[in-house]
Amino acid sequence: MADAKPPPTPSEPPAAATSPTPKPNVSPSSSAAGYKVPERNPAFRMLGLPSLPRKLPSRNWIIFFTLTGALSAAIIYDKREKKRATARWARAVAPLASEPVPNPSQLPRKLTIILSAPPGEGVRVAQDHFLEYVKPVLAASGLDWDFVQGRAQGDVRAAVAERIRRRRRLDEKPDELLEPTEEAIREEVRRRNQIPEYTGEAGDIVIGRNTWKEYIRGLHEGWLGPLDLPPHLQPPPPPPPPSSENEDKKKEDEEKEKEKEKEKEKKPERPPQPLPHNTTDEYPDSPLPRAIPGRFAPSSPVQFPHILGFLNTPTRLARFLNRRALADDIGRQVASACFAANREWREEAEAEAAASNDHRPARREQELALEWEEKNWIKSVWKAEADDEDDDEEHKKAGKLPMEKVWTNPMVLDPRIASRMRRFEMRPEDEQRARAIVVPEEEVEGWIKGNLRSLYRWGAEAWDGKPKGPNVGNIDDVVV
Amino acid sequence: LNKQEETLLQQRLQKRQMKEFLTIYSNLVDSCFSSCVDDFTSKTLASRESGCISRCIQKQMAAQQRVGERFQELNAEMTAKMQSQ
Repeated sequence: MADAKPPPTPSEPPAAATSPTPKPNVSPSSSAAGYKVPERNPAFRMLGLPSLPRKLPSRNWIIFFTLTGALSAAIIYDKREKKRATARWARAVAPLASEPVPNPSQLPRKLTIILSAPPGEGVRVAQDHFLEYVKPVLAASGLDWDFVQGRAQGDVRAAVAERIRRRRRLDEKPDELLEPTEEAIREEVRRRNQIPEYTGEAGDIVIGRNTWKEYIRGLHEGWLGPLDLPPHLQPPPPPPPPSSENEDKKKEDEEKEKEKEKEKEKKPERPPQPLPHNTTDEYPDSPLPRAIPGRFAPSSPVQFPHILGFLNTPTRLARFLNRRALADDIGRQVASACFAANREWREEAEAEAAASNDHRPARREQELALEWEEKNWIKSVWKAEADDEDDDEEHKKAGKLPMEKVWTNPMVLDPRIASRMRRFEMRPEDEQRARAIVVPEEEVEGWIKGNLRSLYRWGAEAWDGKPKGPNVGNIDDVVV
Repeated sequence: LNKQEETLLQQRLQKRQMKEFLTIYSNLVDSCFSSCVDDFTSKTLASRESGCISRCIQKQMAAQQRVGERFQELNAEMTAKMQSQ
């Protein structure tokens, strides 16, 4: 409709007539035909807020913000949920810490944590894993714990086997004097002061598949192996002292020995790893010692996912963004160790055994525990078997035996030992109660939100009206 | 040391022990009072306060006993280590 045309059209010719020379920097909005300055949203205008920007950022910026925002959200959400999972299990276990102890000298329950360096790395990684996932739950439970740490392959096996042999020696050879250890001194002092020891279930928490394999091997070696090293493994006797004929040679030897001693003083050498007292082939023929208990202290294998390699970075990123599941699983295992409810180790379900092609007998649960971790190990762990042939000759020349490869050998279980092992598992009611725990926001939030909360609290406390100090009543009413 | 000096030494040791005991006692009274008694609108001890005080003392004694035992064990370990080195 011609009447619908806005007023500017008839006013354009008079504007053009009044200003014959149009200015060069005329704004494009007014030159474009019919462009109006958009009106503010009346709702925003009433509130006094500015209108939303009409112009979005460019396509590239939008892509950038989307990616950054998504990654940040994933990381922050996972971090909070991981804290929530650990806090949930810590709270589930906290009632154990409040139980009153009637005798002040009564020793608490003590768990043994068994750590070992994963293949290709140092113990630090395992220690950090323990500190982050296992320790918060243990600390909240009020239990005591001590460590067995292994640096090289076979260290944990040697330590576990030695502990068992020590116990056996007390029973089988009570007259033999044992070498004093720190623990023995402590036990002696406690016995003298008649301090009551803890009489319930102790327990082991084993972190990592390689540690688990060494633990099982150490258990078998300790209970089924001989107490002393078999004769063919014992170190050769030291050579007899040289004759007094060549005195010059003697002096040279003494000087060399002095130099060696000086070097040793600078770096105290670690004692070599004790050799295994038996081999896996000797298990069926070994007799059980008389002192063996009907049930061992229960154990709990805790997963330790650890993968190396540049091409594994996507896997590592995926694991990093899903640490909440790991925290929940580990927290559950540690809490079941704290609650001390345990069951026997079962065998693989019959359906799975029948489905396998080998028609092998049903494998025991101990073998299957944490088996998936072996795929993470670095290749050199498996390749070391091929290099054994060269190493064997060198070792034989030096008089040592080839190192036993506990990690790569398949796990051999003796049924007598495996049936005595027990596993920590929570009762269903404990687990339900733990799942129902609600963790408050303060334990889950990060440091920015935490600092803001503290700031608010500092300000709000001024309005509290709570007395600071003892309750002395209303001083204004006192008549002096 | 002759007899006079012996008796003097014994007296001095006794005095020191008494002093230590009194210090421990006053520290105990101080900490239990500050933890348990916080209401001065009445000058008599309420039943909850007296219960709190008796529990406080028992706990202090138990804690001292426990710490002493652990300390003894640690001492034994350290002396054994020194001797072996």
